[in-house]
Amino acid sequence: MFKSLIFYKYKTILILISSITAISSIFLITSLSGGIVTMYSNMLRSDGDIIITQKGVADTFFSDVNRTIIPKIKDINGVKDVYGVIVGAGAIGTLPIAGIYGVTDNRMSRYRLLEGTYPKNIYDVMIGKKIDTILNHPKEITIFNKKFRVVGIFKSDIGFENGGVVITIDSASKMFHKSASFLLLSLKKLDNSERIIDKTKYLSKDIEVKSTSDFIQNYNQFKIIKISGFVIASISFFMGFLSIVSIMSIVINDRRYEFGIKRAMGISKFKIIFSVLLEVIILIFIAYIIAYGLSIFLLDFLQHIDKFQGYLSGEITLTLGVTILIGSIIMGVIGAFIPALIASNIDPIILIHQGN
Amino acid sequence: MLKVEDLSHFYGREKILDNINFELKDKSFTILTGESGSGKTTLLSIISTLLKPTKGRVIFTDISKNNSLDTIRNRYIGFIFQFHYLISHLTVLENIKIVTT
Ligand SMILES: Nc1ncnc2c1ncn2[C@@H]1O[C@H](COP(=O)(O)OP(=O)(O)OP(=O)(O)O)[C@@H](O)[C@H]1O
Ligand SMILES: [Mg+2]
Repeated sequence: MFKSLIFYKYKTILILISSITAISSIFLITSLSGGIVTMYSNMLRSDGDIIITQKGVADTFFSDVNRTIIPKIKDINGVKDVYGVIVGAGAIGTLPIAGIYGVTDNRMSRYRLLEGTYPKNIYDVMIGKKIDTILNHPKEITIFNKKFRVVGIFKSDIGFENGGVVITIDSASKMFHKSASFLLLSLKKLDNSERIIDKTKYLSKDIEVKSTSDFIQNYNQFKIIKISGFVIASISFFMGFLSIVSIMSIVINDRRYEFGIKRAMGISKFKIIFSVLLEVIILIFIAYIIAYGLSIFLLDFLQHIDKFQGYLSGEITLTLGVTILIGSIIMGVIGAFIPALIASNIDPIILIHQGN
Repeated sequence: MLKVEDLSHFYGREKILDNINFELKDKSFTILTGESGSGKTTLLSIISTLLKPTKGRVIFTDISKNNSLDTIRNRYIGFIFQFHYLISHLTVLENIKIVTT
């Protein structure tokens, strides 16, 4: 078994390399696209059991919700607190684009201060740890041609927030010409959420109220990211599959006398198919382990590149690891099946003609 | 006992074996001779179940009924080819052991 893999080492290495490439790219694309979705979901979820967006505007980026309803929401029984958030983006200093978050005072404490204070005045800004490093500890930064005084540096568990800046919501309102992108409600008890959603809906015709988990599940941007991730992963899967089919076909052709002898000796077709599949499964398994290590290394590496401002962050969960392992083995088995079938159907009579 | 009944074989249109019948007793020793190209290898390939005859049949009494062709080849037939075949990445012993894997 191992002997044939070692004897045909050139082709073995080819199969390994193409499988490692395919499996690693599946790992990277799924974990990175999943990472973005998870980070943004976590940002919405933290202290947000219910989310309010503008009616009919599917994207949080374009949504505009009037903050004047906040006091009325606070009066609803069971509501612990209400936060207003504006998400925007723009050029910051020498960076062509970075996230700009305007948040109400009660939401500032989500950001862990490393230095200084939270922004209070309209030209105060608190900058993420990554931005601080990239811009080399600035005292002042320019956002949309306006000078802001850096009052604090924060660190967030949500990777990409470290690559952005936080300003007061009033300041962000002026900048992006809106009251709030969305409002987040935290509840005293989660089981009240249905009732509170209904009550909140009555406060304005222009808003859409959903539980945050509901919202995340139906958020179009996430769907797009997930689908593109899935499509790219499928293409990698297919490329890996094709290379296994083609390399294995060559291998089988090289080894046709071996399979011919086995058939002449009465080794069953089933056993031959099984032995070929087993060889491929072993290779795929080795490729999987290498690809897994490589992906962890690359993900860690990408996370620490300041240029990506924390957006490229992915994690390989156990479910993802197991799914990809099963997917890879399926890729190998299907890819090797036709070559294995050809091997098992090699007519031992070829051995006789060779002699004549 | 080995029985060959009404055996004919064609390669395409060319008739190589024409209605052959014979029986060989258990533990007997038989030599088959013939000119080059007369069909010895073809006949032996058919007897050893490597090749399907165009017409007629080969019967191993006591064995044929209960066993597949693979099993017959694996357990009951030895064959020396005119040309040697060994799987080059295996040792001599491993080559011999293939039958039992
Ligand atoms: N696969 C094949 N297709 C077409 N013709 C074939 C094939 N195999 C053998 N023949 C022809 O059948 C005839 C018998 O061949 P076979 O190999 O059985 O003869 P042989 O008696 O074993 O000869 P030799 O003594 O040279 O080994 C020959 O004329 C040969 O050219
Ligand atoms: Mg011959």
